[in-house]
Amino acid sequence: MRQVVILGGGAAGLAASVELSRRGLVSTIVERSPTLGGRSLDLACKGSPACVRCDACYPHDLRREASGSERVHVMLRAEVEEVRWTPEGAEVKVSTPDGMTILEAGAVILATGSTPFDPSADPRLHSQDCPDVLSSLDVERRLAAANRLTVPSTGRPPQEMAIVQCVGSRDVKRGAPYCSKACCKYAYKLGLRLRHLHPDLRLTFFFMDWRPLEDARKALEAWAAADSQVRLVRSRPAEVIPGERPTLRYATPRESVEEESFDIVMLSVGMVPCSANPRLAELFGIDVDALGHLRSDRERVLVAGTSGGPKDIRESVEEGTAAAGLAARILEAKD
Amino acid sequence: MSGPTILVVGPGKAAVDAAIEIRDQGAEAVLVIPRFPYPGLPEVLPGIDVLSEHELLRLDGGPGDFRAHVISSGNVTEVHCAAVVMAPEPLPPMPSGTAGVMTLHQACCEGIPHSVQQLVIFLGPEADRPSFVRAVDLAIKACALPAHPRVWLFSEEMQAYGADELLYADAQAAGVTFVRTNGPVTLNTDPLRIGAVDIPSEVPINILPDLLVTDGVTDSEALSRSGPAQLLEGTVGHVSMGPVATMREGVFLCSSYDGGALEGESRTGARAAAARAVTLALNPLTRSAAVVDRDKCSACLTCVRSCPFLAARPGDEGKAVIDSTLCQACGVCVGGCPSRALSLPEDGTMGPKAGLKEGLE
Ligand code: SF4
Ligand code: SF4
Ligand code: SF4
Ligand code: SF4
Repeated sequence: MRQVVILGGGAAGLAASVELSRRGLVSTIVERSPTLGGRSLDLACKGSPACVRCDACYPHDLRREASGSERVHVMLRAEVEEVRWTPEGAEVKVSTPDGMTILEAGAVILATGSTPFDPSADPRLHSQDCPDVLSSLDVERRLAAANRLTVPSTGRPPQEMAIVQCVGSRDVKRGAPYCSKACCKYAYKLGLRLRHLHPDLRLTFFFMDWRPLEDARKALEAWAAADSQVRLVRSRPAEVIPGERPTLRYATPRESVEEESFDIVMLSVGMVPCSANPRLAELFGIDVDALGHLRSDRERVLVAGTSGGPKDIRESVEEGTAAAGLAARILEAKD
Repeated sequence: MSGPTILVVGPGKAAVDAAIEIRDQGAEAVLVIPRFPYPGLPEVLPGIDVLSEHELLRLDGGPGDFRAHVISSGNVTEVHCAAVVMAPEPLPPMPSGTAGVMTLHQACCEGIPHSVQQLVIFLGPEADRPSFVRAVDLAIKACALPAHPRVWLFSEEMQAYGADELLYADAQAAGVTFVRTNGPVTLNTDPLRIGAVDIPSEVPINILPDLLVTDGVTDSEALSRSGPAQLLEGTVGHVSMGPVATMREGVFLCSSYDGGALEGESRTGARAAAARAVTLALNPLTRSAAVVDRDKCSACLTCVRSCPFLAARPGDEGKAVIDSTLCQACGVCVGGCPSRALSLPEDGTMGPKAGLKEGLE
C-alpha cells in the first residue's frame, strides 16, 4: 500500500503522522535534524500554575504517540534528493547517513516549518554584545531547563524586565514584513509564567498593536490593570543601548524620547521563511509566494504548518491534522 | 457509499466546510443548521443530508454511538451518529435600518454605493478579528470607485494577523486614512457625524460622512451561536486531548477562537475537526487513564486535591473515582497516593507538563 511522506517532524508533521496512524494509514517522517519535535523541543510549559494553553505540550504528546506507533516510520538526519512523479504518486528519494532510500508516496505533506528571526541580524538590538538581551527562544530554553530565569550577567533573579514585541516582524527592512501571529500569544503566556515564578519581577511590555489569538484582546490590559508590577508601553523601541544594564530607547505617544534600563530585555522574535523553501518548491514542483512561503496547487502535495506562513502551535497542529485528512482521502480513493 | 454518520452542527461556513470534508473522506455527513441556504453559503450540498431550520437539543451516548435529539418547529427527531462536529460561529448582525448607515457585512456583500464622497468605517470595541481584514479590504475597494471618495477607518487597534499586515500598506497607498481611537467615540445619525480623539496625535477628529459603515458597536444579537449552551460553554478540551477536541470525547469543536477565526483558520479548523471525527468514527480509540484499586484506596483524597486536570473525584465511601475523559495520564496522583492505590496502565505523559507538576508541588 502507498504511504504518505511527511517532510518535517515538528508540530504539524507529527500531527499529520498521528492522525494518519489513527486512521490506519502508514506514513514516513523525513526529518533533517537528529530528533523529532522541531522548534517545540525548546519551549517551556507556561502553566502558572494552572495550564494556560500555551500549546507547547501538543508536539510532545504527538511525538510520544508517533514514536509508539508502528504505522509511523521516522527517518532522521534525512534529506530529500529527488522526486519522480508517477501516475500513482511520487517516488521520493531520501538520503540518510545509512544510504539512499526510495519512498513510494501516494501523497506528500510538506511541514518543514520556519526559522525564528535571529536578532543579531538587527545591529540596533545589540543582542550579541549584551548578554542580558535575550530572544524569547533563549528565555523559553532557560525556563524549560531551570524552571526559573536569572540575569545572565549577574546570575541573580531579574527585578526589571522588558518584553519587546514584533522583533523581526512587521518590518520591511529586517526580518519579515508580515505579522508573525504567534508572538503576542506566547509573550503574554511567558509573562504570566515569569510573574508567577518571580513575585518581585516588574514586567514592561513594549508593543504597537496587541494581537493575541484565542485570548481576549483585552486580557493584557486587564492584567496590567490588576497587577501593579505589569506595565504597558505602546511603542516600538528604536534601539538597545548596551551597558552594564541594557537600556531601551523609545518614543512615547507624546513624541518625546525616553531611555530606560532593565535587568533583562526579552525580544519577542517572529518567524522568517526557511531558507530551504525555494529548493523544496523546485523538488516538488510547487511555488514559493512573494513572502517566501510554500504554496501548492498540486493535489498530492499538501503544505502544513509554518512553512506555509506564520502561525501558532495550535494552528500548525490543526493544519497537520487537516492535511492528514486530505491525504487519507487521496490514498483511499486509489485503493 | 455508506460510511459512519457524523453530525455537524453550526450556522455558517465552518459547518459547511466540515460537512463537505466529511463527505469527501467517505463518511455520511448530517448538517444541522438554523437557516439554509444563507447568504455566503453554497446553495446546494450534494451528498450531504441537510436538516435546515433544525437545532441540536441534546446529545446522549458516546463515541461511536451518539444519539442526537434535533428539534424543528417543536418536533424532535433522533439522529444516530458516530461522532459530532460543533461549528459555532457568530452570524452577521442584521442590516442597519438607519439611512446612511450600513453594517460591515452588508457593505461587503452589497458594495459601497457609487455616489459616496465621504466614507467612514468604524470598528467598535466588539469588532472581532476577521472584521479588521474585511474593513481594510472594503476601504481599498472604496478608494478605487470612480468617484474617488475620501475613506477613513476608525479603530482602536490594527488587528492584522500574518500576511494581512501587508494590506495596511496597500490601504495607505490607496489613500485610506487610519484614525486610531482612544476613549469614547461619538456617533450621531442626524446629521451623520463621527467624532473621536486620534492617538498618538491627540487631535480631535470630526467627520460628517455620507456613509457610515460600522461593526462591533454592540454585541447584541450579532453573536447568535448554534447548539445547546452546555455543549459550548467552556468545552474546549485540554491540550493533550489533541486539536479541536472538547471535554466530551467524540465531540469536536472548530472555529473556537475567541473573537472569531480568520478565514484560513476557520477552514483549517473545520477540516481538522472533520478529519478527527472521521478517524474516530472509523476506529474508536481507547485511551489510558489512571486506575484506582478500590481495595487499597483509603479515601484520603490526596489525588482529588492534586490532579491538575480535575479528573479525580470522591466516589462512594469517599474512595477516589477517575474520570477517564478528563485524565491525562500525567501520573501526578500515582506518585502522591499514600496507599499505592493508583496506577497508570501505560507510561505517563512526558515533556513540558513536568513543569506544571513542579508548579503544583
Ligand atoms: S505546556 Fe502549555 S498547554 Fe501544556 S500544560 Fe503547560 S501551560 Fe498547558
Ligand atoms: S503577533 Fe504581536 S508581536 Fe508578533 S508580529 Fe504580530 S503584533 Fe507583533
Ligand atoms: S490518593 Fe490514593 S488513597 Fe487517597 S483517595 Fe486517592 S486513590 Fe484513594
Ligand atoms: S494521572 Fe494525572 S490526570 Fe489522571 S487522575 Fe492522576 S493526576 Fe489526574
